Amino acid sequence: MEKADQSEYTPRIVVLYCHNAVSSPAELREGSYQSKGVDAYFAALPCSSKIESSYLLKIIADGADGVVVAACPEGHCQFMVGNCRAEKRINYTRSLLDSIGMGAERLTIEKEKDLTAKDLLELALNRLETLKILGPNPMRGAEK
Amino acid sequence: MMKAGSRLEKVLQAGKFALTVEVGPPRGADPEDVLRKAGELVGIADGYNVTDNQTAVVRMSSIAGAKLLLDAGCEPIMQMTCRDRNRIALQSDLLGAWALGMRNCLCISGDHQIASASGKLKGHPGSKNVFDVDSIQLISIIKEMRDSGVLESGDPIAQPTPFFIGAAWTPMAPPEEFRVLRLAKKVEAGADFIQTQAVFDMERFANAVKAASDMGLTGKTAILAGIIVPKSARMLEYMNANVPGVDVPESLIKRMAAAANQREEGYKITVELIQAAQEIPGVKGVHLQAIESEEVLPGIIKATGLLPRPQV
Amino acid sequence: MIIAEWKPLPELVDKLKGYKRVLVAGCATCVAECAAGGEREVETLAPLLRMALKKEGYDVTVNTKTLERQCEWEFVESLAELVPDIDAVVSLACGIGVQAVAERFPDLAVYPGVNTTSLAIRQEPGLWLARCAACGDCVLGETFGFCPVARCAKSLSNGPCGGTRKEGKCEVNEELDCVWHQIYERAKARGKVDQLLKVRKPRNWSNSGHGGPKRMVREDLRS
Repeated sequence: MEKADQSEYTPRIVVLYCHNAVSSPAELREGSYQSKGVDAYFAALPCSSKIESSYLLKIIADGADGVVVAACPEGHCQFMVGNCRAEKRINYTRSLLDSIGMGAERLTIEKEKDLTAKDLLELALNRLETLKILGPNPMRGAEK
Repeated sequence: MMKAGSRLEKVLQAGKFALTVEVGPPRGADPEDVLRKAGELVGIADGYNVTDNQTAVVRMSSIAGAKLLLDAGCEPIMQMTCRDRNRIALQSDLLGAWALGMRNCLCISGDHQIASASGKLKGHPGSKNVFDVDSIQLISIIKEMRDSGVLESGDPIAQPTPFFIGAAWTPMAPPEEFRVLRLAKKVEAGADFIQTQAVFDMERFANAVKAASDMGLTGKTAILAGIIVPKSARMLEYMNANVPGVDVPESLIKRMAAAANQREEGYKITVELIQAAQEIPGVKGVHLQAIESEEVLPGIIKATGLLPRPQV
Repeated sequence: MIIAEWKPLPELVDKLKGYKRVLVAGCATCVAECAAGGEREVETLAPLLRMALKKEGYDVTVNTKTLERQCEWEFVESLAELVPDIDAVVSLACGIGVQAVAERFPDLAVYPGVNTTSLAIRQEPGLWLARCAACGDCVLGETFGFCPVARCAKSLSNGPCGGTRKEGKCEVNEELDCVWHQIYERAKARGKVDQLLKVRKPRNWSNSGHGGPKRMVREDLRS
């Protein structure tokens, strides 16, 4: 585990949201959001199950300090089990991160519906404390 | 007509109820550890089983333990598993064992080496196992070495090696209906005597022996009921839950748990089991095991009235 | 299919320290089928290696390529153009593929990224079960379609041993069925239990790896 870097660094958090989990997908702007000490980046998914371990790991290997996947709650997936698949993959990916000492806590899943941009930002901000403890991603500067 | 002339064979031939006990070799090289047990147990049984790296835990070899027992006046039943040695080594060891005076051999598959890593022991779960032949094939091999003086290859050996051949039987392991049929295979392959897995339910066991008898097997092979001396209710529960083929009636566990002195109760239960086994037609003896506590055996056997052992 | 599983990452990372340019090479056949070495797994391992090595202070370029099969020379050849730009290959293929790459590029450091373990079937998604031991003397026609060599922990010819647990599970691994229990049940269902009463003689192991590394030849197919 990374030594606590309590000094100021602005965690870069990528929020991957299922477009069925947000209230107004057409109006939600993808891209950068800056606020209260976080550098967030939102990207839409047609279903949370579109994620793969390799994408999540690449996002972190390219410098993101944290990744949050916003999926639909139990029983609400338009594709029946997409959110369950997503959760299993995320759990697997977390264990892979742990196995190389990167910290499973860099990657989390939230299961909510009718999310707004404000809600997504809130999800990102919720990770701040943990990510400050984990410290900045050693891969910073590696982004393409 | 004698096949090997061992004491066990003679007792059975004379129609007497046979008694064998198990001696576990030490996890070390000191012959004293075997000789001490021999001293405690001499004269109380017709045969003394020496286990072969039981549960795949490295112990003094069965052949060495058996030789030490033999020289101390306890006729050994050398156990041979198929786990660690191929047919070349097994046949070689049989020639050597016979040369050293062994006349009884019990053929078993053997516990998988994964069992060696248990409790405080690291064991050798990473070792490669052999299982070149299985227990029934080993019985056939010994039979051919004895009756035809040939090895598994067909090549002759200089002299035949008369062994009294034993096998194990676990009548209550699934698939139960097949167990007596597999016993028939062992008898066909050449098993002269059988030692069963520990029995705690004599009634169920009697049914299994009846099935064997209906197939004509009890006339061709001598079945000895396996009996383990229970030390505690916990031990009974453990065996019931974890040892395949060992079924302990709930009533027995309750009885143990309620006893003021569980050890003493265990001896009582053992004596009762031995006596019950004597009543079953087709059962020709008992095989007693007191795991890591062989010293309790003389007292128990004395209490059964089976001492002194018959003159043969 | 041949099945394999990832080597523990610390073991693999340890071998790669010091190399500047690493290629992770996958195989789209057996190891892809068992989710160990196909394109998806290659793309998952590559960022993990990058991160793990960076954490140890090593800046490594990790590239990826997945071949159709690493056990075919014509596919292995496609690595030739990449070789001048790499110092080491991590192959996620089975042992056959790793060696094919190593043989074709003898000056290249080739490391296995997986441990090849068995010949298995994908019973259901996420579950692979060993089925064949490549023993060279198949008796499936006598055991009602269940292999006693690969599926019996003791490879018994005259099973079952006394270790069958309740519910017909194997003493050695309680998540596995005792295959001799299965053979008996199948024989019973067919009314052919008598076929199991014959004492089967010791096997001839020499047509498998036990007889030495296998060399199989078909003169009619050689050029």
